[in-house]
Amino acid sequence: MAKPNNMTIIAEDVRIEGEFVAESDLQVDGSVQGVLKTAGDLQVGSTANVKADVSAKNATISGTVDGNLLIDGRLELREGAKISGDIVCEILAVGTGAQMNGTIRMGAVPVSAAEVESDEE
Amino acid sequence: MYYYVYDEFVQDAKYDKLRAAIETRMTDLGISGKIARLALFRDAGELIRDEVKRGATTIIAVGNDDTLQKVIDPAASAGASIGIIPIGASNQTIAAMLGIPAGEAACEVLAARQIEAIDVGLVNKRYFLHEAHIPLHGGLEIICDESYRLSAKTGTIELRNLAFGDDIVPPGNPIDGKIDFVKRYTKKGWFSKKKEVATWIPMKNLHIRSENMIKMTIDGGIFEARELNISIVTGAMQLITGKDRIF
Repeated sequence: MAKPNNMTIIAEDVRIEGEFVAESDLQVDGSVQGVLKTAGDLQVGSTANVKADVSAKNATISGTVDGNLLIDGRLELREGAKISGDIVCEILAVGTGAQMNGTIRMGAVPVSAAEVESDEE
Repeated sequence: MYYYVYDEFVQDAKYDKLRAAIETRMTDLGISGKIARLALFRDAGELIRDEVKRGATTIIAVGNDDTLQKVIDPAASAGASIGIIPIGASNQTIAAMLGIPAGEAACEVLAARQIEAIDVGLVNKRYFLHEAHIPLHGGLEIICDESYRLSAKTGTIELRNLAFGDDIVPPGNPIDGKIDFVKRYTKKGWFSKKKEVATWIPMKNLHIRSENMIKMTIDGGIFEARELNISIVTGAMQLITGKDRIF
């Protein structure tokens, strides 16, 4: 088995409620409710259930996300991904069977979520 | 000035030859010092505090992990540097993590005085260097970094500061200003094959409370409380380390 790297992991038996901020890459296989932020890359596994606004550098999603996604770079939605919320990203890749319900904005990503909100007003 | 604290078991006749070799090596390297011999009802804390007042700057635990535990609290709170000379084959995890070889070879490392400011975990008022374990039950409320609540049904929480890594989690790094929260979980894979995974979250503090008494182990010792305030104290301990340390 490969040695683990320093990626923050929320396994499928763990539930988080509140504002979760990771400084490193983050893998979510469990439940998160509230706010989910990472300065690194985010992976949301097929067993994950995220009810949170999400921001990350890049993201790969195979599970359920109920909330807005603000991704600086590439967002990949894989088979089994279910997104209910607005997406802002620079590059979007959508796999067969991924579901999206919300608006999508692509290109240069605003510096912060606040900028997105002010643009929308 | 060095102060050597010999654990009780080290004074056994079977270590006579090794003790003599170590003491000769200390003299050769110019790191000899006063020796305290622990015995039943002889408190290491009192001996160390008195000796630091008399000018001791470096406290060396001669024995195993348990010996180091006896030395850590009084030596760290008195501001002395801490080292270890591992004697005996068992219970030498901390020395191995610090890169300190067993027996007289440890004297070379002590003489080189490569001192690292190491973080220590703090549970209420008790320090831990290595790790703490807390069994989970439904009544525990866990607040992390004052910003989110964490819950899991069963198993044990590991809080790791200085700890070996394994196939599931990376080594605990005692100079990163964080405690590693680890919660292992075995999930069923294909064809009933079991796979162990773990939650791994570096954090600065946790607050745990329960209506019932929480029984936890801290560096091998038992600790009980209804409310636990757990944090990391950065660079709190000056530890002598070897080049083979794990961090």
